[in-house]
Amino acid sequence: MEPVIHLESVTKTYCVGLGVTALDNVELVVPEGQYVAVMGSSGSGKSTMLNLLGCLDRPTSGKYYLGGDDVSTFSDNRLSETRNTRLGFIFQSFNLIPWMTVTQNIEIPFFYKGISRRKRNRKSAELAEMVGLGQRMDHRPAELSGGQMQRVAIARALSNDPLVLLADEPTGNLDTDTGNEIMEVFSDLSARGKTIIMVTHESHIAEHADRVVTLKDGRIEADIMNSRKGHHTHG
Amino acid sequence: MGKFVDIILLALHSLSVHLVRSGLTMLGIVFGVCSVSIMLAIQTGASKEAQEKLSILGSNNVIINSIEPARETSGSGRQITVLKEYGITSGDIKCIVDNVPGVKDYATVHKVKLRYYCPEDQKRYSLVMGVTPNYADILNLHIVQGRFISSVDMLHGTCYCVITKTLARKAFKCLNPVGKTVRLKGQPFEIIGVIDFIPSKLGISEEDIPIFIPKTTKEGRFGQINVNWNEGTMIAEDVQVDQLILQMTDESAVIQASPIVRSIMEKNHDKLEYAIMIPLKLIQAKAEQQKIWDMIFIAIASISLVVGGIGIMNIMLASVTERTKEIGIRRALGAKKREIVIQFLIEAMLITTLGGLIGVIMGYFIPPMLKDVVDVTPIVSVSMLIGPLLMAVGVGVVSGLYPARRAASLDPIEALRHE
Ligand SMILES: Nc1ncnc2c1ncn2[C@@H]1O[C@H](COP(=O)(O)OP(=O)(O)OP(=O)(O)O)[C@@H](O)[C@H]1O
Ligand SMILES: [Mg+2]
Repeated sequence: MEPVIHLESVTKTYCVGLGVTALDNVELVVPEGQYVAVMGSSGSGKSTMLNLLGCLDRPTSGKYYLGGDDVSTFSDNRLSETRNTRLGFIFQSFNLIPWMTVTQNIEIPFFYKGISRRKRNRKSAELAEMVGLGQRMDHRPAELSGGQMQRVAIARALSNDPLVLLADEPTGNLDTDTGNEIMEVFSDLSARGKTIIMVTHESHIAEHADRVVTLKDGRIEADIMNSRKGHHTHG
Repeated sequence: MGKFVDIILLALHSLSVHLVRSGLTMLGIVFGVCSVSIMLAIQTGASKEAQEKLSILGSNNVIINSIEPARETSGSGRQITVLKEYGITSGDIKCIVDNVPGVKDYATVHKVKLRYYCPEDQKRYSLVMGVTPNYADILNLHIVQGRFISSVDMLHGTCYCVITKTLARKAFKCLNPVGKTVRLKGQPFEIIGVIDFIPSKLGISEEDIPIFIPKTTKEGRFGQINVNWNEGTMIAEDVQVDQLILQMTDESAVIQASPIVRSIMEKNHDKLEYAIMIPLKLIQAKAEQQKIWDMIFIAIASISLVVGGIGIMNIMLASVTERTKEIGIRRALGAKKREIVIQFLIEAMLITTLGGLIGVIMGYFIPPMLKDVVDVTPIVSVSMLIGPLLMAVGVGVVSGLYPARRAASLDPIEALRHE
């Protein structure tokens, strides 16, 4: 079966000064339903990799196959559609639109998919309910706690039932307890078969994952299947 | 299509949520458009007024004045009596009227300086003008009260006179002077009308205190020869016609006639005892001057239009650039470039059109209120309002669209990094 994600010697260089190689010939294959934690020290290229996976950025060289399609051949519109329907991205800083309410934020992907207003309203309410914000649907982000904002972001990322859920330090701005709550949500989603790739700094969070990929200076330093979950070391 | 409606609704929603920002942006546009419109209205009014003032002279007239020729001092001895005989003659008039094409009508003036007296004013000298009845018509004089001298008055040589508003105000203290009597050299004249004012350039001014009487009355009562005493010398001036005003059919006739009139006068007189004046030429010269003023004003208006445009540009650039992150979020969630551009285009269009319309409405209603402040009657026309409106909407839309396009063209991650 096709892997959901396949990076083929992907390199990303930022043209600053002498040039920073944030990712250096990275190979990564993620099968459907896998929960991958990406670790590594600061500046090792984790965010860079996730942004490439999320089609928010383009690799300098190498190929990225998403569900078997070569993303580098996509037009800008096709990339937008891909982000809209096949990818769900969760940011460390939530990235909610401040002047829109909880449900309005959740329904943005529906909006760009062209789903009717009525259906949007119904589905966004369902999603808000699902992440436990049934009572907060008409609140603005500024009126929510960090954990609640991240739940909105998760609901939004899930709205078009993406192929893969990408999260860049989703608990980075949260306290431990709230962070654990959010991790519960991810474990839950994983248990229901969602493919997840999550960047994290904390090893106890990585323990929830099926597989831990560790980056160092833009290269994959280690790629370990989580034994606790009964898998072996990979590659 | 449904999506397009959705995007319009989104733009409206965004505007309504950011009331203060939208309001301030709009205010900038309102004032930009309004001030430019007001300026244009004042300028148009001033320009028109200047033009009207000029046309009072009568662009279809050719005016010939008799002037005393430079005289070679005759002999040495103190002459007791000097007879000066000069100026336009009735022969000239006949010759001109017969030979110059395009003469529609003509009026003659015969002046004399006389003491005048009326009960309400002290005795003074007045310039009594014996005129033909068509004088008022040809010069477009505005009659404020009563009537002008008629051909019946002319025929009978009646003792009627017409005075100016200034004299009426001075001598009769604003009361209606029609029916009152003025004495000219002791002879009573009944006032039958009051005229507004005398166009300058006619060679007479309000200070001369002109009083108009029928030409025949002037000749019958005071004679053709005006006698003055100066240091014991009697100076008698025999001038047949002091001023001849030819009314031509149109402006091209004026141009055609002027050299012919000049050559007739040159042939009939070997001394320079006349002066030909062509108001059309003055008007044209003035119009040239006015054009320069108009151009200066247009330049100022254009500059303020540009300044207003830059203001609008600044506001739009700032308020859209501020939302680069929002654009990044939308792009990350699947918005296409085009959809971002449409949203911001609609927002910019709504703000600028609404602001521009309010500005234009203010620009339409404010100028008439400024009538007393600026001392001219501002003129507002719809065509004048369209320019500033288009400018505001154009500049607003372009300068709102530009940063939106730029942000939408970035990789989403770049836009997201924007704070
Ligand atoms: N926009 C950029 N321009 C230039 N260099 C960049 C840019 N973004 C990242 N880098 C560089 O690329 C390298 C990898 O950055 P990246 O953000 O992927 O690190 P990270 O692993 O996510 O770090 P952290 O854990 O601190 O978030 C760093 O050396 C960083 O300086
Ligand atoms: Mg990072």
